[in-house]
Amino acid sequence: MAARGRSRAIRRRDDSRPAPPFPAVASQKRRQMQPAAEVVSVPEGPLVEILARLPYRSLCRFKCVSKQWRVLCSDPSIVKRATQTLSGFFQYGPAGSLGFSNLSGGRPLVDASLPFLRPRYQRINIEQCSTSLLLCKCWKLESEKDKFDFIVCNPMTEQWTVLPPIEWLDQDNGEPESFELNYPFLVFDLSVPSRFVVFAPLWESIDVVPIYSWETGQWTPSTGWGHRRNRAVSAECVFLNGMIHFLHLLFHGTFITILDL
Amino acid sequence: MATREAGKKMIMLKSPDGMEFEVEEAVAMESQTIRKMIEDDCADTAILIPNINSKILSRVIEYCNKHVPTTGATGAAASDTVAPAALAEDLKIWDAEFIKVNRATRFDLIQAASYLNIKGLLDLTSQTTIDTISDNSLEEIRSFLSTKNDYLPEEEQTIRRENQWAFQ
Repeated sequence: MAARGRSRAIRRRDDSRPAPPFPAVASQKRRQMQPAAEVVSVPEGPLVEILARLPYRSLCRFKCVSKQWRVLCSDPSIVKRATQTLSGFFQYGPAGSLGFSNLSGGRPLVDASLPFLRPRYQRINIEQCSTSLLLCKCWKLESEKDKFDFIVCNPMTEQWTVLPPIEWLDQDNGEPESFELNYPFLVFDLSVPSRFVVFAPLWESIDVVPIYSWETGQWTPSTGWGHRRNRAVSAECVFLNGMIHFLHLLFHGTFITILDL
Repeated sequence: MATREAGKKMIMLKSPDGMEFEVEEAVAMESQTIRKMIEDDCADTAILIPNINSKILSRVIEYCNKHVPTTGATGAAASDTVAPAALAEDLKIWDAEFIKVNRATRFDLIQAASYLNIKGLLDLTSQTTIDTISDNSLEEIRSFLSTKNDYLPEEEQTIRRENQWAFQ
């Protein structure tokens, strides 16, 4: 037997995809519709596997192939697995309700009311929207204005993370230190949006800026900022070559600051 | 296909057309479906694989044989001398050769990979078809997959209009 390492060469759309369904749900029906003499047409089982790997746009296009394709391309279990490229923006309506304006046409699968956060939070404000991730400020109760969480979520996959309180041990004396999280900025790698970091300039005048990493799920102090630590930074951050680039508005001018993680 | 080696547990796989294939347990367990049967102790001597004929089953076993993770002394020695990147490259070439089959066989392989739950093979077989169809026109897709356009002209126009954005 030729033993080899496992291949990484195959293109994968989604590694966490659940086990595929057993083949052919409606093959009986199909056989009635089409005469048996037909040349090898693709059976429904394989067709489902193929369609489930297509992006949403292709699914919509392929609805026009035939009636069977239209049924399959609209099947929620397939549509849910499809990757979708959304172009558009979140915006607040006159009544303060959040909506999504879709620039790519069609009906987007995103629900701007963020229903997956609703069981837990009464009020949700979008603080920052960066390509596929949202940074939201969320209140459990409308009445308790001082009690809120910052949340990073992906409205398409409905995955979300609560940013924990900023806490660590002081590097000099080992005492626990904690700070209030007030002005977080979300940054991520465009090629892998799930790899995000948040940095949060502090009110306190200490030479430290906390940085939260998706990898550790914790805040760590980044030091050596000196007088540049102030919070006058623009939300237009870019993650490039493993480094955060952002606009930094300082007393003596505007700079692009690069932060190596 | 597989020869009996000392210390390796063998599993018998049977296709519905009566062929029997003796494979190493590790190779058979590349299929999550078979793995579950073995782990649940449902596989004493032979496992009947329904719906997959011997021609397709032998190709599936060929794939699993190639893709089974390295184990044992000989395997470890082999992977010590060859860099993982080279192995992956080698597998990629092997996969590309493996998938050079006619359309009907490829669909049978997709069906088999789906039933046996072999993720790598399912990815390989369905991705190959996707690469073929994703940029093609509807007419080309219909002809490639032998699918008949059963819409009335006005029906097709309506559905096209509803999904116009996807054509831009």
